Amino acid sequence: MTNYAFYPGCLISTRLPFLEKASRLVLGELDVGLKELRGYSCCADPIILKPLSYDSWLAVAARNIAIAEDEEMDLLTLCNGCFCSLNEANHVLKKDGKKKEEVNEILKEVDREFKGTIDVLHVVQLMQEIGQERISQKMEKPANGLRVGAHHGCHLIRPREVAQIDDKRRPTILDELVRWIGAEPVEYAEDLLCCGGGLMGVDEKTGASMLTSILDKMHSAGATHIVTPCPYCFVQFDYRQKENPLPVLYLMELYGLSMGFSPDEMGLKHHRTKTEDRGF
Amino acid sequence: MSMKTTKVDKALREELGSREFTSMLTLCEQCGVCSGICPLSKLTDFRVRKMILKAGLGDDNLIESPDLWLCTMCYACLERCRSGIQVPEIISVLRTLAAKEGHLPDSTSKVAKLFLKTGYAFPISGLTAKMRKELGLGEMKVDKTAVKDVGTLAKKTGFKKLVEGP
Repeated sequence: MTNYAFYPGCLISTRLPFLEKASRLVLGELDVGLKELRGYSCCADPIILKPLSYDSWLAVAARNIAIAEDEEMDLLTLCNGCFCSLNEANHVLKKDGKKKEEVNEILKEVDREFKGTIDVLHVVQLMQEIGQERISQKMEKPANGLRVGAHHGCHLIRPREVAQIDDKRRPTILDELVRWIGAEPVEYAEDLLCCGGGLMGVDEKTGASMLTSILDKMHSAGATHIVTPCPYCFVQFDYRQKENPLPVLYLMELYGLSMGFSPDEMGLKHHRTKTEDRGF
Repeated sequence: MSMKTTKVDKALREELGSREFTSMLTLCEQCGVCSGICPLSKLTDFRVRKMILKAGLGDDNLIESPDLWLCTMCYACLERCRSGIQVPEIISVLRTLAAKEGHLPDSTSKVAKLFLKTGYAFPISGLTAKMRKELGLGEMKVDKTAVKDVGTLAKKTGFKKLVEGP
């Protein structure tokens, strides 16, 4: 069993606990042990808080990483935002000794120290590590024939140099993970563009237009479902589709269904777009 | 010719360091690749290329521009820029400056204040508690240590002042 310091992040914990539930079921099935962290805060997020104050972001992220370092385990996150934020902070502080010193001077005030001893992982990377063979063995109900609009989400794959999740200029890792369980990712334009979720507070109309633009492309490509590993994208797709909405699944939910967990035990009824009546 | 130092000019020099700042002025070819990939280009009048030009010229009108808050930090332009210009970082420095000058959008201010109050960027509601219980998940509470520590870090790094004012 491999153990990870589990950082579910605040969006999933507060608004989308059913995504946490599905993830815990899938990870348990794959013999991944989760160590619950205490005292963590928001990562801080890469869309609103980080661009407001770099120094504050770096100190807060370093504190969260330090909490996981105490457990001597790599940090596992379910969220693109948390991944982008914590992974970048980890990279910056491991690389830049001067920055690390500065941040540790600040962290002294809260009795913490960033050591640089662990890695930050997104659950997508963990699936990659576990690999197709072991995942296939757990599949009881493969998603054969499901035509999926796979949406990576910006902060899983960019900045590429830091994310290091897929070295291709045009990442396809999510397409692969979807294929592993029998589903067929459709090719659609704008698959790597922002869903507009981060804009809903500032300019709802433009944020909604960004979403519509992506949805049009998915519909044209014949997608029957949307799959994403990002809770922000999930909210945008699940809450804000208007006409002819496609069911939306978080990657771990798709895996959970394929492993034979029921929609009930994963809390799929909390989705706004209905999943059950679409034959999966 | 003497150049007048503007607020934007000063903030970019101080935050990004003179090397990066100089490279931005001299290396940006205004080729427009950034605007080409930016999802805002086809939906709004916002052009990231123009914003970088204005930033390079130290245009203080940027401080009050609502456009500053449109970027969703998707990093698409960062990946495409052939000159390696750190567009999201430049926009971030400008946002910090705008906030210092009192131009923080309400929605951003709301998230920042919630973060200071609870340690999280999203509220814990009655519905959260109900759903977590039903799913057999542990209770989600505001963590007092996290709130206290976030407050300390926010004070130390100037974030508290930025959000709540002096």
